[in-house]
Amino acid sequence: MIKVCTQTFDCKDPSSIETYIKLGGYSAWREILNQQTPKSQIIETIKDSQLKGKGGAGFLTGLKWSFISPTKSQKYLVCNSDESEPGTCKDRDILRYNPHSVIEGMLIACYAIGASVGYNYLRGEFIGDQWKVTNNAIKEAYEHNFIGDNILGSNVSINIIPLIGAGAYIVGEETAMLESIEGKRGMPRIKPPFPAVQGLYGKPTIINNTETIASVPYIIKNGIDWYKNLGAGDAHGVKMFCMSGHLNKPKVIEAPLGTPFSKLLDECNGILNDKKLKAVIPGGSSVPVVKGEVIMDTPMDYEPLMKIGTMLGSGGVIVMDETTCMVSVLERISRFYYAESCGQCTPCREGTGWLYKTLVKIRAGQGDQSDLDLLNRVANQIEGHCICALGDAAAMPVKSFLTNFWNEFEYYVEKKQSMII
Amino acid sequence: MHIYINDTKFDVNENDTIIQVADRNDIHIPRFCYHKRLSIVASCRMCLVDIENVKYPQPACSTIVKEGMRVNTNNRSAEEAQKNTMEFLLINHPLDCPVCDQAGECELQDVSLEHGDYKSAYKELKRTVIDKNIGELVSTEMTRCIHCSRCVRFGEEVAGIKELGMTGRGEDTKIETFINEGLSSQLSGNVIDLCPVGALNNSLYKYSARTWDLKQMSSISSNDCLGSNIFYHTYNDEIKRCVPKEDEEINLSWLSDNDRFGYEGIKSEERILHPLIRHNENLEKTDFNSISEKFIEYLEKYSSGSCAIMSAQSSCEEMFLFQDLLRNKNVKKIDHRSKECDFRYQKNYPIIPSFDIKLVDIQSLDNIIIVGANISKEFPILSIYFRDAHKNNSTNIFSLSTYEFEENFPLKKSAILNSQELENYFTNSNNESGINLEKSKKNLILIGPAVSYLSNYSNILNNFSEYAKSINANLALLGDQANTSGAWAMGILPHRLPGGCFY
Repeated sequence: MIKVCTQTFDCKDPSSIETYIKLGGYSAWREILNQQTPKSQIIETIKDSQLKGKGGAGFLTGLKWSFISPTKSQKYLVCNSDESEPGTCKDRDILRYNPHSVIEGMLIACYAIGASVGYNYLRGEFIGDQWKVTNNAIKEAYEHNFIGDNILGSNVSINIIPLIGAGAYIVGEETAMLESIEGKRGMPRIKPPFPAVQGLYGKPTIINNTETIASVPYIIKNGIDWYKNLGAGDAHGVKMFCMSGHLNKPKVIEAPLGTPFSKLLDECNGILNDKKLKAVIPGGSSVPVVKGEVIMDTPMDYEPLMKIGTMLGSGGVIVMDETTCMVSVLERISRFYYAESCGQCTPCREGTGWLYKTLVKIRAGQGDQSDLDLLNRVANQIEGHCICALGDAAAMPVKSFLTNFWNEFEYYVEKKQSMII
Repeated sequence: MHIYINDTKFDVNENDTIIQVADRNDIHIPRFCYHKRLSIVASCRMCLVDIENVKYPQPACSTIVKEGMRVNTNNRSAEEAQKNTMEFLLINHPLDCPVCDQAGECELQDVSLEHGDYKSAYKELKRTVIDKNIGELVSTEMTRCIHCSRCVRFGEEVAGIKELGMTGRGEDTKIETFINEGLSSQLSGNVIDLCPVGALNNSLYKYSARTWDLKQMSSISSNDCLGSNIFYHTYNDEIKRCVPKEDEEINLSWLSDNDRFGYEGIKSEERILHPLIRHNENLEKTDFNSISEKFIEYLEKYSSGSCAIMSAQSSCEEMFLFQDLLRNKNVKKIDHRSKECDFRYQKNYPIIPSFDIKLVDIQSLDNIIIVGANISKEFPILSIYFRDAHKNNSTNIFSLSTYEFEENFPLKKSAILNSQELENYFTNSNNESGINLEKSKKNLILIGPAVSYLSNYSNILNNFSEYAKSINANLALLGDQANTSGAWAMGILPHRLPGGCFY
């Protein structure tokens, strides 16, 4: 069993700095400060390790860092801990049980891109545990002089500031997060300009997911090959999978990328009550759903999942057994995007409501065949026509549910009741 | 640099957006949120156009041109995208055009006719929004709002007061003011023009005419000395409303609330519409024909002891004829300065009160000193230029005044002074003003009309002229009436003839 971001999870007092240091924590940061490692070398290391963004898009982290404009101006790092994608619960555990890996990762990232300030933006619902733990961890790190001015006498000064949101899903979109940090209404910006050129307060900014950031210290400490070899098969590295739904033992598993889905299922002791697997949403509710039999032997990695018509996304694996009514699942998912659309651009503002209302109508037994075509058409009209990816996130489930479970929807509009009794 | 729009080649500049190129060349692209004088948000998605080798249609308002880019504004992909956006916009928009004031000049109506479908597949209930009372001038019908956010951006970017904003999320997004607040900006009426639908209406004009019945005639606003260009819209020979006429050198696309709603005064019952003649204690109504003979008779009889006052709201032609008639009849005391009391300055005064700078050049100034004027209340259009100057050129703006007020642009320093302190502000040997302007910079001193009412106006004017010379500044004088300059030029003065010859 490999452990990267979850290293401290099973320790006693997992979030304390002592635990983290005992397991070799902050050694990568010390090493960088002692050696005054060139920034480009760190960026190259991360690039070569094939570390990909773990928030959903899966973009190469090192490549993203290398886009930061080389000017001498103020730069910022933002750690995106606004984990709100339904089905995803990995960052909440990292922040709760391994907060120092996030802090060390942010320090290294700040150093590599030349930022003197890093913000860690937590979702509003983390006001309980995670917010307290993060604040406490930052305090500890300040006390040990791992953060602050003239860190460990190295002339490097980096400050890390935690922030807490107010409960909007859209703020997880990177440019909406920047708006929110600036104190404005959280609405995505139009791109270009990309944040690496013009981000927070108009300055070059890099935004990374919490899990990505937390992986950085381990890669720096153990090397490129170590991390690459962690993957199974052709894949490189590890990923945290949030296994939820009809499982005997739902949990967050850190597993090699490329692990077959069936193996993850075994880790969770199989489907609840030994029912048959029906469908899986492998990367949070916004990615397309796939049928159980299709995903069973698929390696959980970016490309193989693309091949079967879905995405790895944030790693929020939602498992559904044969008793699940897909019409009601889709209604619930649509309600989420309807409620969370920021209201800025037309297709998403109006379209998500239309999708949801149509699904409510179908579920109430008042739909007909034309409503199914309508769902497909409206989803297509939204997808790709919006400022940010929320429109796509609302459209993709609708399209994939209809494609994969058309007969179930058809049954519902004809018989005015669910196929699943 | 070149791009192709609908297979025609166009010259473009480096940072042009597609919509700018299209607008310059009269290629129509539908739009709602885009406005040439506001920032770009690309949120309405109406201007989606097809770009070769790009998977999805892109908004023309925010897409920057690239060399050789091939744009299609009306092929299948673009038209489909525009039609789809139109469908989305209409699902929650009430089809109440027959009772909507905007009908006939509604952008949504026009674009819908051109790019929309004649029927909608939407069968659910439409959204309704409760109207808010946001003041006397702008009435709301927020159910019609399509969330283009032009009004919000206008407040932030042009008027300088953020009074309207978005609340709520998704479909429940609303445009609102702060709780129980109304619009207070002197430029608030512009949101009526900006609103592409009938959500923000002119409450004085509302339900009084249909737009297609109106006649339009151009005019100049007589509410301040800036001379904003306007259109009066009339129905049955009655002015129904006043809207801005675009003018790149004065009012741009905007109008102050005074200009927009000032025409209401024409209908005032207190206006004197007939000549009145005094019989003992009473004023009696009469008409121009019967009075003209009497006027000449009295004029000849009492000319030497008479004086004449004329308002500087009149046109130059009227003024010229007025003084010509009176001077021929030997009336010499003619004036337009009804509120002034210190005339010692008048000999050395320029032929007309000078405003030696074009409004568009205000942007390039380094320093501006405002003396005795609340620009954002008295000259709202001018305040737009000051805001821009501060925003784009970091112009320092100072204010010296006899009373306290707020401006919609930041003041580097403001001082409240009495008339004596004002007179000596820059002459005191121990200059504590804290305003040290360099000769090499571009400076402007702007004197407001209120200063001319002070009993030491001559001294103030003299001292500020001297100071202006010492720092190489332009001295600009703002007249208190619409045509103060005309009155000076036409000799509505006791000591000068038309053209400025001494009398």
